[in-house]
Amino acid sequence: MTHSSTGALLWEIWRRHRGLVAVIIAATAMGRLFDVQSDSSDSSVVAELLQLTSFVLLFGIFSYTESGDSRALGHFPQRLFVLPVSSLRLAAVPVCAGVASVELLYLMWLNPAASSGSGSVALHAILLGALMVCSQAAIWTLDRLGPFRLVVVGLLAVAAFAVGLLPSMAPSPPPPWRSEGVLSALTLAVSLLVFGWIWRHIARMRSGGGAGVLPVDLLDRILTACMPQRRRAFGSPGAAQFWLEWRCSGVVLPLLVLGVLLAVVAPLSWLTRYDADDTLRILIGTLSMPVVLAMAVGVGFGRPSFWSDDLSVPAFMAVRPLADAALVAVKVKVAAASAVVSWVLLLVFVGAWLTLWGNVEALSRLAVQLWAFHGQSVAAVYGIATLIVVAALFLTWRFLVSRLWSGLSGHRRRFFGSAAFFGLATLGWFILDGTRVLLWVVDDPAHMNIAAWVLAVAVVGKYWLAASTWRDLDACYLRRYLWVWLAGTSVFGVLALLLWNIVRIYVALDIVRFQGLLILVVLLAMPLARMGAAPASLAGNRHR
Amino acid sequence: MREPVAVVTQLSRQFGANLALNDVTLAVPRGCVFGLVGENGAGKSTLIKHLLGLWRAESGSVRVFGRDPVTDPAGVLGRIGYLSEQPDLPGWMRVDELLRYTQAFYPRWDPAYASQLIEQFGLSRDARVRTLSKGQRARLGLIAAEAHRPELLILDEPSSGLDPIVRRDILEAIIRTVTDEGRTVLFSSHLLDEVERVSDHLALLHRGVLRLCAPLEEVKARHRRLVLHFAVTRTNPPDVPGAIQVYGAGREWTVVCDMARTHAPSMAHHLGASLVDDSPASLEEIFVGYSDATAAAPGSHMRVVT
Repeated sequence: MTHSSTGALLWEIWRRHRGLVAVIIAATAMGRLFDVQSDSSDSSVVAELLQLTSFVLLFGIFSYTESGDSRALGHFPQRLFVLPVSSLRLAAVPVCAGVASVELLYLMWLNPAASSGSGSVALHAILLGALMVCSQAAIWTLDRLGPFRLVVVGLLAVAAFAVGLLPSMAPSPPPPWRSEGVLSALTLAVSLLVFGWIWRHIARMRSGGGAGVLPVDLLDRILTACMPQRRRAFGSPGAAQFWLEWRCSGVVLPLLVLGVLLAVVAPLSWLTRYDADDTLRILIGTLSMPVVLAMAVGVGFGRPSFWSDDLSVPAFMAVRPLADAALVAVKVKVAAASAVVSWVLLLVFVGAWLTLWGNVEALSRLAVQLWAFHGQSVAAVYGIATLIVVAALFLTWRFLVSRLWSGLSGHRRRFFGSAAFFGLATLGWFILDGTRVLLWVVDDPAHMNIAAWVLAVAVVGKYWLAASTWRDLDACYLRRYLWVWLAGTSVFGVLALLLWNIVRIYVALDIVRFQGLLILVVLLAMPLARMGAAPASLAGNRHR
Repeated sequence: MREPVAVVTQLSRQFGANLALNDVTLAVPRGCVFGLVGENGAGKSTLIKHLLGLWRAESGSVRVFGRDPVTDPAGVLGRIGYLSEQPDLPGWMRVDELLRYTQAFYPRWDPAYASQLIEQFGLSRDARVRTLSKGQRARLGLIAAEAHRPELLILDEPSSGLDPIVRRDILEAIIRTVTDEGRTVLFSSHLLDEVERVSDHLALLHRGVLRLCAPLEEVKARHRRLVLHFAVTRTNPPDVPGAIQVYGAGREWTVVCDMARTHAPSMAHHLGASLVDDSPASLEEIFVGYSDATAAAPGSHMRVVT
């Protein structure tokens, strides 16, 4: 029996999630057992996976949300607002319980966590607590963002990880602002501020939202107000649908890219403006940023309605007199426009950065090497740079459209299953160190043969599926997409050609087999079967 | 005789264990106002979604303008205007943007008519949809559905939860639509006075079964409300052929029945009763008679209240 309101709130959290708590305890116990029993790297990898799982589950428990639709991410439980409990307590109980739990879990994992990371145990503990508070704030206060709150939480985790690395970065000892003490104090201060924000938000929600404007609403209103009002008639139904899709989902990636450029890359590039190697590293990170963001944005882009948890086609869109293939074609075009605008923004920024305050010494060295390697041709250097940008643009577009086949289907299991598979595969690549697999493949011709067979089966499967999915589609849609596919595949093919010419100089390997592998990878790069399946998926969802 | 705009043949649809539509067959005549009535969950919206091609027929067939709305959505939807109970208009759009967007899909869009309706309804072109009240959104949805002068206007519970002034606007739009030659309105409603006022054809759905589908005048003409007086007190209600509702007690019983299946005086005589009153049944009595949950006996529509 609980005798206090705090006890009752804590009991409810425990009662709802006791199954998950048991899983966390079991994962932690197993992980520690692996660590104790063996020193091999394989067991360490398993322990790391278990550690990651236990922390993710714990953050899931303390997301502390409810929804009328059990499938949605939900919001702070508003039924609690009628309880005779102060708003401070309503906010403090899940926050304090979350922080205490994450610290306890960290303590249970302390040895492996301390040995694999950098920085002190205290800083890590403070960062974990801060991450818990900040992710709860993101989940509760940004509920207008729907499932994209998970992306925000992911970005917060990356930020916490980056802060944890700061004290160990060169030069050593670090300057005062990067010392553990200062960072810990700053993190604690930010956590307290964020907690105050949560408290204020809950108090205002409890009183009907108050007279003020929530930050997300304000941002939404500013963005909407900044969008130019459409005053001309549309030339065609396709143009009208393009405008709608662009305003709902197409602008998201360019805005995110612009935000990261201004909020992260600009200050970082300014701080490291004297260091040539840091400039090069940040440049590489910046150039890969739209592709990485497109992976996350593509999850929303692939759905009928970008901002909604509901995967069914909204009636407003479903009753438009447009064929299913035409609706998909509009989405594909919007993705292309979104990728192009994002890259134009990025290239303008990078141009200004490298011209005005960037240290291009390391970049120049790289350019000179390329220049020397390609017959001292300046055109070749610029050509390669252009090719890399165009390939990255195609990759950005590819990640935006690659979920259309599952998102438009309206089947939650198919959609979230494919997204989760992709997410786990990416995570597994980093955790299990995917480059080891690559080295294992190129190390021995026999291994290359195995990889070639696996890839060949994948290519045959892909084209067989493509043939069956494209069979019933409009020839016009097929023709237009084939041009895009050919262009993308050609760009990747030329890049592969350049790659094997460079690799053959530095690595002794069977170049013929390596060429074969690269060709197979290139044939898999651009989506084909998935694009053919998208109209049928939409039709199944639109006409249930 | 002109071809009907929509023909539904033996349409069935099941959601889990719930049979939402059970072997429904009907035709919507061209140029009429077709009222679709039924209690909550009767299958009205499901039927409308089939007509729009948003649901695929599990069994049976749906043809609108002679075409399948699922296989040819562009061909069918271009000739239909649709307003739902809660129009899910994008909140970020301005009124003017929404109308320009909608206009692009309909070559027959009449900008002058749209402007006239905007003025009549007092909507601001620069207002965002999310700032509009429920009634204003319904009016905006109505303009978007009506301004291209569709051959078939489908209104799914358009006045549900709206004030009388918005309901009047919607009814006027329906009347205006049918005065244009060849145009048809299909609307579902709980508000029987509305249906009675504007419909000239009535279909009544009950638990997915089409109980009634006929011209409204015919429905009203053939359903009668009879008051029977018996010489002796009855403990059981009288067994009247074609009765859809029977209530009363003792020696006086009231029967609402479909007179197509019986003749009042001879029926009264046969039962040993005298016919005290024989008047037309109201639409509400007909609706309740066909829709009441107690009319569960297979093959019978009769509801007994004692």
